[in-house]
Amino acid sequence: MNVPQPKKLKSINPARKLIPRKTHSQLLEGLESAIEDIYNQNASSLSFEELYRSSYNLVLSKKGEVLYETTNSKIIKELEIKTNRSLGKLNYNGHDSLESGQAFIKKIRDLWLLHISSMLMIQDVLMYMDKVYVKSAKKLPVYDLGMLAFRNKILLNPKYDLLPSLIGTIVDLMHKERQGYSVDRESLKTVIGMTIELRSDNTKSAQNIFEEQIKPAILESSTEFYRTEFRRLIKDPEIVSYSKQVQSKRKEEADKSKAYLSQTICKDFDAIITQQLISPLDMSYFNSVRNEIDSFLLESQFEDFAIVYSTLSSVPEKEKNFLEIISNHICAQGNNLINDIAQNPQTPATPKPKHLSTNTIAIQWVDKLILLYSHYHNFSLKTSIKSRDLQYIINQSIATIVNNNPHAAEYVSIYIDDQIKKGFKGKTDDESETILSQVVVLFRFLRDKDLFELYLRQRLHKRLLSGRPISRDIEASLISKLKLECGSQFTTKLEGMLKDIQLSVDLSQQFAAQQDYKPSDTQIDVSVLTHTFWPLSNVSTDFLQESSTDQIPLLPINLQNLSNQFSHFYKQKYSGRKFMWSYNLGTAELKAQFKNSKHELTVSTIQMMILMLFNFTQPEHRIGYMEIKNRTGLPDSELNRNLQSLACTKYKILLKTPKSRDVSTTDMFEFNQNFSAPSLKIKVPLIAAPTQSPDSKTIENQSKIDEERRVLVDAAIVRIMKSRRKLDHSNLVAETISQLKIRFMPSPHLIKLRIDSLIDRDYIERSKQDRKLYTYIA
Amino acid sequence: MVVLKGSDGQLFVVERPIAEKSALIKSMLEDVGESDDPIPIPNVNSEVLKKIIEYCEYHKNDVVPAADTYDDAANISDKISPWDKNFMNVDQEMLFELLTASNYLDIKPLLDLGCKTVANMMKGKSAEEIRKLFNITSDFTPEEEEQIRKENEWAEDR
Repeated sequence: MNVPQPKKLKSINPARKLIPRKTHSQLLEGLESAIEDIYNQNASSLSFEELYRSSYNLVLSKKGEVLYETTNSKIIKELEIKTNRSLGKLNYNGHDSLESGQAFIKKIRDLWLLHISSMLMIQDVLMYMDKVYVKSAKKLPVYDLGMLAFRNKILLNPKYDLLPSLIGTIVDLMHKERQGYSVDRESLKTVIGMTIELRSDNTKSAQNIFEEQIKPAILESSTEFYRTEFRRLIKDPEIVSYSKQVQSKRKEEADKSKAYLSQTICKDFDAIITQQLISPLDMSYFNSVRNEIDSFLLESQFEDFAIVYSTLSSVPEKEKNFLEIISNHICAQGNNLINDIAQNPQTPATPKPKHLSTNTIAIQWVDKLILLYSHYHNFSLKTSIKSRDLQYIINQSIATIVNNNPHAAEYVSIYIDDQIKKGFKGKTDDESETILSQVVVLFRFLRDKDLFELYLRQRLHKRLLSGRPISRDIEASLISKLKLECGSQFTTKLEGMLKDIQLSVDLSQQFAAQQDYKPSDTQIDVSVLTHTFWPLSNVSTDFLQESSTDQIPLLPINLQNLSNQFSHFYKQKYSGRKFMWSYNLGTAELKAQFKNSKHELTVSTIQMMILMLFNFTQPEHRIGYMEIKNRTGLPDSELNRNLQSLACTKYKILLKTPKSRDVSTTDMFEFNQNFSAPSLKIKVPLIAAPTQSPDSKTIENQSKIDEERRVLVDAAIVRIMKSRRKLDHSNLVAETISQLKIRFMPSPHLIKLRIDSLIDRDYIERSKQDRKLYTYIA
Repeated sequence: MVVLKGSDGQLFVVERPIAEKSALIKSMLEDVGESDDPIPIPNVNSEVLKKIIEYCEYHKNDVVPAADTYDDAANISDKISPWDKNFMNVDQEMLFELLTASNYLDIKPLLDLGCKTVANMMKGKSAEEIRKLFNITSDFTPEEEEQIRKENEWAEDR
C-alpha cells in the first residue's frame, strides 16, 4: 500500500475550498472591463494574475459557460465600437484617389492589428478557461472565437459592407501600382494576411476569404490590365525588347506576390501574362520580327536569344513558331553556302573563279558547314537554355542542309580526304581529333551513310595505294569514331582495307628477305587487296577479267620474273586463294637519264611498261601505237590514257607525231631526250579515264549503291521473316526501315520491290487467307 | 531572475526557466514583460510555494512532453521516481494544497504527480475506506450508492 503514513496523525481535514472573496458577477464585471481596457490599449494598468485568478475561480466554480458567453459578447461589442469609430469618419465607398484607398486599407489594418493583439492578451488571461472549460465543453478556443467574431460581425456584416469595398480598394491599389504609383505594401500585406487567416465559412474544407473572394477579383482585373497592356507593348517592333518587357512584368508580379500577396498567386500571374502577352502573338507578328531574329542569330547575340526563347517557351505553340523561324533561318544560311562559295572563292589566286574544282567546292562547303553547325550549336551550349527541342531543331536544320545537297556524302568524304592528306600539318593531336569529331557530327546528319562509306573507301583506296606515307593513327581514329556511330558492320570494309595494307607491308618484307636484293636490283612491293573490301571500279575489274584471257599484259622480263616469284611465294603461304594482278593500280619508280639531266620518275605501272620499251633504244627511235599495244598486251582504253599522260601533259617524256591532244592508233612515239624539269623527282600524273567524268562516276557509284542496297534490303527482310515467320506488309516495311536506317533510308517502294523479288525466289509467300500477310518459307 | 510573492507576503527569488515551469507564470512574463516587481501569487501560501519551487528546481531539466502526445504508460501510478515519492511524503493538507496550487499555476507534471499519489492512496480501498481516509461525508442516499456500485461492479478488484 502506497499510502503515506504521516507519523503525527493530524486530524484529516477536507481540502480547503477556495472561496472567492468576490462574487461571480463581480469577477465577470472585472473581466469585462479588462477586455474593454485591452481594446483601448490600456492594458498596462491591469493585473494579469488577478484576471487569471478571476477566470480560474469562475471556471472552478463551474461558471465557465457564463464566462465564455460574456467574453464573446464583450469582444463583439468592443469590435463594433472600434469599427464604428474608425470607419465612421471615412467615406469608404468611393476610392477614386490613391490616398483615400491607402487610408481605408490602413484603417482596416489598424483595426485588425488591434484585434489580434487584444485577442492574444485575452487568450492568455483566459488560459485556464481555454484549458479546462473549452476542452470539456468542446467549444472553440477563445482566440478562434475572436477571429469568428471579427469575420461575422465586422468583415461580413452587411451593415458595414466592408468586404466589397476592401476588394475594390485592393484591386484599385494594385492597378495604381502597376501604373507606377508606389503603394503602402506593408498595410496591404497585413490586410491580405487577415483575409488569408479568416475562413469564408465554418466548414473545415472552406477556403480562406482571400482565395475565395479576393483572388478572383485580383486575377480578373490583372487579366484586363494585361489585355490593354498588350495593345500598348505590341507597338514595340522589336521582339527582344518586347521579351524583356514581358520578363520584367513577370518579375514585378512575382515581387508583388512575395511582398504582400500569397505565394500561390504568383503562378496565376504568370499564367495571365503568358495568356495575355505571349499567346496573342500571331504569325504576322513573327513575320514582322523575322529580320531581327535573323540578325541576332547571325551575330550570336546569346543573351537576346535566351531572353526571347525563355519568354516564348511558356507557350509551346509560340515556342514552335520561334523554332520554325530558327530552322528556316539556318536552312537559308545553308542554301547560301554554295552560292557564297561560287561568288567569293576563298582562293583569289584561282585563275578561273567560275570553274572551281569539285574538291575546292567540297572543302569549302564542309568547312563552312562545320562553322555553321558550331555557330548554331553554341546557342544551346552557351545559353542557359537546356531545351531538347532547340537542340533537335538545330540538328534537324543542319541535317536538312546536308541532305539537300545531293553531293553531301561525296563532299564530306573529300573533306576528310583533304584533311588527312594534309596530314593535319601544324595541328596538335587534340585539334585533329576535334576536326574528326566535327566531321563525324556531319556524318551523323547524312541520310545516305552507305553512299558516304563507298566514297570514303574510294578515297581511302587512293590514299593507301598512292605510295605516300599513311598516318595509321588518324585513319584508325576516324574509323573508330564511325564505328561508334554506326556499329562495326558499317566499318568492316574500311578496317579490312587498312589491315590489308598492313599485312602487305609484312608480306613484302618477308618476300624481300627471301629475295636478298642487291641495291641495283629491281624491287617490288606488293599490296594484296581483299577483293570485297576494296572499291575496285568496273574498269579495273574488267581489266582483271580481260587480263585473265590469253591477252596477258607483258611486264618487262625482270619484273615478270619477280611477280611470278611473288605469286609462287604467296600461293605457298596461303593456298586456296585466288590471286590476281591489278597492274592498273600500281606505281613504279624509274631512274631516267636524259641528255642533260637525271630524274626519278614516279609513274603508274602501265606507264612504266610503256617506258621500258624505250629502254636501251637508239635516240630518236620511234615506236608506233600498234607495236606498243602488241608488245605490252594492254587493252586500248588503258593504253590510250597512259600514252596520253606521257606525251600530252606537262611532263612530255614521250614525243608524239603528229602533235595533238589526243592519241590515235596511227601515232608514232619517241623518247624525249631533251626533257628537263626543275626538280629531281617527278610524279607523272595519270589522266583520268575518259569514261570517268564526274557525272558518270556519280551515276556509277549510285548504281553500285543501289545494287548494295538491294542486297541489304533482301537480307533484312529475310532476317525479319525468319524470326517472325508471319508478318503483315506494313509491319514488315516498318521493321525493315528501322533495321536499315542507320545506314540509309530505304524507300517503301524499294522494299516492296524486294519483297516481290523474294516471293519470286520462293523465300517468302503471301498467305492464302490474308493477302497482306507474308509467311516465311523455311 | 523572477521574484514570486506568496499569499503571506514572503518573497522567493528564482531563475526564470524554473519559474516558467508554470505555464501561468510563463505566459504572464511573456505578456507583461520582465520586471523587478514581485509577481503576486495570492492563491498559494509561502510554505506550499517553497515546496513547489523545490520541485521545479529538481525537475528543471526535464523535457516537457507535448500536450497531446502524453503517453499512457507514463501515467501509470506505479511509476513514480524515488525522489518524487519522497517529495510527496507529506501530510494530506500539504498534498491537497500542492494539487490545487499546481492546477492553478498550471504545472502539469506536478499536478500529475499529485494525482498519482492520491490515486495510489485510494487504490484497493472500498468507497467507505476512502471516505474515511479523506474525511469525506457521503452525500449520496443509500439507493444512489447501491446504483453506483452496480454500475461499476465490473471495475472492482476481486
